[in-house]
Amino acid sequence: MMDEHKILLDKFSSACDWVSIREYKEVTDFIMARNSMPDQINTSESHGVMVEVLYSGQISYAGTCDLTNKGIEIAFNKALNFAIKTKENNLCHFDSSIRPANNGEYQTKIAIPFENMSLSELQSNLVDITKALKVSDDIIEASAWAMLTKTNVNYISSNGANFTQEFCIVSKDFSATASRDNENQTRSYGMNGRQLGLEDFDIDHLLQEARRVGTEAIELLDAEECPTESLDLIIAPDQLYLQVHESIGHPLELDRILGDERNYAGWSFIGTNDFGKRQYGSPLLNVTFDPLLESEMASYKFDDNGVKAKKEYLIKDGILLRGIGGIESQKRSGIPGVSCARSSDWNRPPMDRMANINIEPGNSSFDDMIKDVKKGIIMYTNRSWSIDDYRNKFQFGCEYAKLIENGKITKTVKNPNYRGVTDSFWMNLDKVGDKSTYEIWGSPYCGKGEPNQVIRVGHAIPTCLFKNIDVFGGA
Amino acid sequence: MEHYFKAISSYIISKKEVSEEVTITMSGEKTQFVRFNQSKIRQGSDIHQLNLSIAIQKDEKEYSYDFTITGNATMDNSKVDDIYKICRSRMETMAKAVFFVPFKNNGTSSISNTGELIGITELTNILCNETAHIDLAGILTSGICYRGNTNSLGQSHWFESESFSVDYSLYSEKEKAVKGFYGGTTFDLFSFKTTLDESIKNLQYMEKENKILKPGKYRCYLAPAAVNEILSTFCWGGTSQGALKQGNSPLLPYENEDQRLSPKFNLNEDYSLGLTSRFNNEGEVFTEKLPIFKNGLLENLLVSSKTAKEYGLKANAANANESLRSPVIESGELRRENILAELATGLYISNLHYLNWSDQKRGRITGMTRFACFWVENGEIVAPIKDIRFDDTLYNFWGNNLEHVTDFSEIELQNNTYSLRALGGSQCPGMIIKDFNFTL
Repeated sequence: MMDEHKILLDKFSSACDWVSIREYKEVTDFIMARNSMPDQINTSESHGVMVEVLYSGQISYAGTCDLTNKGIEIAFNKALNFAIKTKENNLCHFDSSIRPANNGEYQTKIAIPFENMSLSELQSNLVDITKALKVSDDIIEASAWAMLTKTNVNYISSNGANFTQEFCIVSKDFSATASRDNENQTRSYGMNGRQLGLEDFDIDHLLQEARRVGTEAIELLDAEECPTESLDLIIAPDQLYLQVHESIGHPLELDRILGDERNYAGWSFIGTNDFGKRQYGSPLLNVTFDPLLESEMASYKFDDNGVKAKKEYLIKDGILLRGIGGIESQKRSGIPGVSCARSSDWNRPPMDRMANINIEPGNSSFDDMIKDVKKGIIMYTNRSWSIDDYRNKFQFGCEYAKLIENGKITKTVKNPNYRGVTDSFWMNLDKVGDKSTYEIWGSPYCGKGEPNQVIRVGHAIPTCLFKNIDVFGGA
Repeated sequence: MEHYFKAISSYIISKKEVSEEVTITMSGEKTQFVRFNQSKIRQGSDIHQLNLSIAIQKDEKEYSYDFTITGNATMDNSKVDDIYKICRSRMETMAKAVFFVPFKNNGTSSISNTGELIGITELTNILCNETAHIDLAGILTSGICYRGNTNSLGQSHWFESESFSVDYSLYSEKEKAVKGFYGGTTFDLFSFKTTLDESIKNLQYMEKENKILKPGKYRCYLAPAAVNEILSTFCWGGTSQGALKQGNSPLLPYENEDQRLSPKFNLNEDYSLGLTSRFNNEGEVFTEKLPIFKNGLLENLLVSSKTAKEYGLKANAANANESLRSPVIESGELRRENILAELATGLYISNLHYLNWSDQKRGRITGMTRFACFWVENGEIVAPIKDIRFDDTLYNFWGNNLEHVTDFSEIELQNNTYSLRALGGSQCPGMIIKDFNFTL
């Protein structure tokens, strides 16, 4: 189909200043089991083309599911017509320099292809996981799911860009809900997605984890309520990744700072003058944008503007250096950015997205962190999240926590939550875990934009210790 | 489009084997989106998409395959042939469905809500010109949405709806903001200007210095849009019979501990709003109106066919996640002109933001105030507030602390556009709540 698209591009390019065709196809198998029984298996496939046109400084888009040459030509004419007739009201004036002519290929490195196991076999493994979750009759609900996604992107443009990317992604989670005497608690493995093959579905490991999850759900039934006080807080990677996502990733998006997102997700407490000088967190904080980290969920070689992917420090030694903004936002703001213009599907235009936003590992072992805490708490696995539209005031809830008293982990507590304000929270970062505490997490569900887009993001995170955080328990 | 849906459905049904039954679902749209920043065009996109889902049942097994179709019969029929092969091959090794619900004929319906939409370029230029003197961010959405459902047993439903909307917010130089919405089936410049003028007037109220509130319990008026945000969060598991059975419902305290809501709280699933189709993905047709809470007492939960099968209950044509698609909270007695006097001293909250269950099993919700929210003293607006976080349970704010419900309500159109433009909406009144709990 690429050859046909090239012929179409040649035809279109004389009517506009620049044009591209992005063909996107994604197939996802969803497999689920519940309570020791198979549940659903289904497949979804999205396939279409987005035509992007530059005319007189304005870029406009038309996406179509009609993959015939005529269908793509209709889409081109719609995009061109819009650009011509509304050019007086264009916000940003661009030229074709914002679409580099890169060529190449990207493919997820996998050890075991999806085709090596049938969906029925995979479901049978998920059934086994739900059996392992049911460690007691007090487990009233046990479920497990997996998603296998294969995405192919072909991109060509009138100034010579030509690249293909193929992504293989495994996402999975399982959970157990325990109930006794009107107390109900859910413990989960934690939703995670990785760019891997079926090697990510190591059933022996997952069964072991399922028994732990089931056991911890039961443990929570008898646990005391999380205390309400200011404590030293150790956050495990399966919660901290969402903290990074919400209070570092989103506020650093340049399109938010430029106001594009104000009507939906909001603005940012970060201003254009903050880059290069603002102390975002303690000197221990080092945050990178790294779309090249192998197996992380949002790795790629080119973003959807055709810009080559590159690792960059967003925050170094606590100082804010760079925004999460693609080539358009960089041109609009004059702020250094990254290769992050991405779209969720063929039917949405690209915008500034996080990709992989990681905290670089520090020097503290897990034991070092515990040893230094007189009175504190360690929290695991997100269950609730909320933050204001400037990305300042946040509140997170976790599934499971342990108190730390005089340098030792003591008892389990239930319904752990914490709240704070982004600025002071990251300044209170006191220890950053070393490589042994570092985990790669990823979520398929980051929402943003008008029209709305949900996209995959990755976060590789060590365990970290924060001083004097307000924690509290349940209702 | 209905004609094409019928044609491709006929082809799919003609290709099924005798031992198979199939249900075909379609969702599609021809929509123009224009994103605005500073009252100028940030991004314009025209989207034409048609999605089909084929669910096949055979020997008590079920497999469904969703895919994009092109609208070209030759290409789509060939794709259907490929998908049949994949489905049949996979179904051979699949286990039987544990809670198998065979397809049946749930009847026929066809609804077409047409509008008088004007061209997207003309509408875009009108919006830019009318708002050139202010800072507007938001999205213009215009076009037609399709939903279809048919099966091999004779069931056939079609719903299409043409509409536009302008979902916007206005900003002052001090970064103060108000939210606005204008939408329908026919664009009327005078009505739009009236809505816009109202927003501009509200923005002027915001120019005073913010009042910074300490955490604590405050008397509040929640405007309909704010109530709608809470209702949307409540719909996330709150009306699901399956969630209640599986220990993941905010109604667990209601069920187990006799916690009750206020007699002033009345919630219905009410399709007389006419905003979305009454049929679900299985083609089951929901009754026009079903009470969920009546005088604070739970009357019905939503029960899908699968939940009904699993727990031996009666299904009520709910969708798979058993959430409300056309919820209406009934209005009460408080007149609009008496809101500030009745509030006396407290918070006037126009909008809420980023709500989430902070403890779903206890019915506790957290979220932020956003846009035009004011401090009121002795029935007079004193100042806008700096945004503050609430965290409270529905057994408080819709329970003993619910003092008044307004005698008017407002329709909030569903404006979710994740992957596809959503249909539906809700209708909510305003509420006065005492001791609403703010934490940060």
